[in-house]
Amino acid sequence: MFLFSLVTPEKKVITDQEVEELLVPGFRGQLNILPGHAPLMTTLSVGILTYREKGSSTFREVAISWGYCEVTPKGVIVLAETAETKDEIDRDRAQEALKKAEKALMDPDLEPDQMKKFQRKMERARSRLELAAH
Amino acid sequence: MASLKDIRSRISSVKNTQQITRAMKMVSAAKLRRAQHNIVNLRPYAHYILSVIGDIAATQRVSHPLLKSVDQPKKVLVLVVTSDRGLCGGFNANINKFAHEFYQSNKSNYEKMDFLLVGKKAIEFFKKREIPPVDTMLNLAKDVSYPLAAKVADRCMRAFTEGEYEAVYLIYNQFKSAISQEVICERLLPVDLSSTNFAEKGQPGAMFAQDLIFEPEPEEIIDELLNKHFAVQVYRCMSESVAAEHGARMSAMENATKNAGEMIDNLTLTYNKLRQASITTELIEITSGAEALKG
Repeated sequence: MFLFSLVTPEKKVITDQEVEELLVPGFRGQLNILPGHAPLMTTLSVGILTYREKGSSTFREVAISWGYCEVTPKGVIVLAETAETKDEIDRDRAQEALKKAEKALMDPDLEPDQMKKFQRKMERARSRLELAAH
Repeated sequence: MASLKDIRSRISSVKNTQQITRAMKMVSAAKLRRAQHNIVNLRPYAHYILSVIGDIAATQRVSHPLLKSVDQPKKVLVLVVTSDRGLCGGFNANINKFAHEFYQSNKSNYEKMDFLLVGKKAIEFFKKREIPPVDTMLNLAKDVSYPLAAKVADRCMRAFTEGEYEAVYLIYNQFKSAISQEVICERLLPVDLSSTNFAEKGQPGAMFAQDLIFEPEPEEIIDELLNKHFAVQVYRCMSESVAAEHGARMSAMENATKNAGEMIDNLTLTYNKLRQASITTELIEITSGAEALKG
C-alpha cells in the first residue's frame, strides 16, 4: 500500500489515495509501480493510467497526457497536463479532434512546431477514445 | 437651508449610485466565484511541482542556473501585480505602498532594481514617482491565461539566466478569502528548495535521495520542469491577484451600498421633517389669516 496523488493545473484529481498498484505510461513504456518501489523520477507520455485502490480488486482508469511521475518513500505524485476519467470523456469531441488532427497532418507544408502540436492532439484524442471504448 | 426640491433630487441621485454599486457587487461576486474556483484548483499543482523540484535538487546530481542562489543578490527584478480598475477598496493602494516601501528601503542595498508592472494602477503610481519600469502589462483581469503568464515568465527567466538579474521577486495580493487579502512578497527566482519528500541531510534515509532513478536523464527533466514551475508560479500569483481583486471589489461595493442606504435614510428623515415643518407653517398662516378676518 502506498499513497498516490494525481494533480493537473485545472484540478486535484486524486489526493493521497491509498493504492495497491499503479500503472503509468512512462517515458520508456508502461511502468508498473508496487509498494516498496525504488525512488524514481520520470516523464510521462500520453496514455492511460491505471490504479487499484487498497482493498479493491478492480482497476480504475484515467486518461492522462504528459507530465511527470515521481516515486518517493512517502508516495507517488503524478503531475499531468490533463486527466480524465471514462465518464468525463466526450467521445464525439475526441473523435472530431482526431479527425481534425489527422487531416492537418496530411498537409505537406506544415510547419515543424505546428506538426508537433497536431501530433500531440492526435495522440491525446486516441488515448481518450481508447479509454472510452473500454 | 436646502429646499425640499434639493433634497428630493439628492435622494434620487444617491439611489442611482446605490443601484450601480449593488450591480457592481453582484458582478464581482460572480467573477469572484470563478476566479476562486480557478485558484483553489491550481494551488495543489503549484505546490507539488515545487516539491518534485525540491526532491530532484536533494539528489545533488543536477545543477541548473535557476537553482543557484546568490547570498547577497545585487541585481533584482521586482514584479508588481495590481489591477486595471479602481473601486476595490485598499487593494491597489496597499500593493503600491508596499512596493514603494520595498523600493525605498532596499534601493541602497542593490546595484540595480528594476520593476515590471502589471496593471494600470501600478503603472500610474510609479509614473507619478518617476520610477521607470522595464516593462508593463495591462488587461490582467480580462484574460488571465496561462500563455500570458508563460510569456512573462519566459521574459523574466531569460533575463535571469543571462545574468541580468540575480533574484526575481513578485509582490501581489494573496487571496485569503472573499473578504480578506494579504500583500505578499515572494522570491520566485532562484527557486526555493527548502521542501523535499526525502529525509533531511544527515538523517537516516537521506541516502535514498541519491538513488533516485531518472528516466530520461535528470538534465533533460529538470530544465523542462523548472520552466514549467516558474510559469505555473507566475500564473498562480496572477490568478491569486485577480481573485483577490474581485473579493476586494465585492466587499468595497457592499460597503458602498450600505453607506448609500444609510444616506438615503438620513436624507428621507430630513426631507420628511422639512415637509412637516412647511405644512405647519402653512397651517399657521391660514389660521392666523382667518383669525384676522374675523376680528
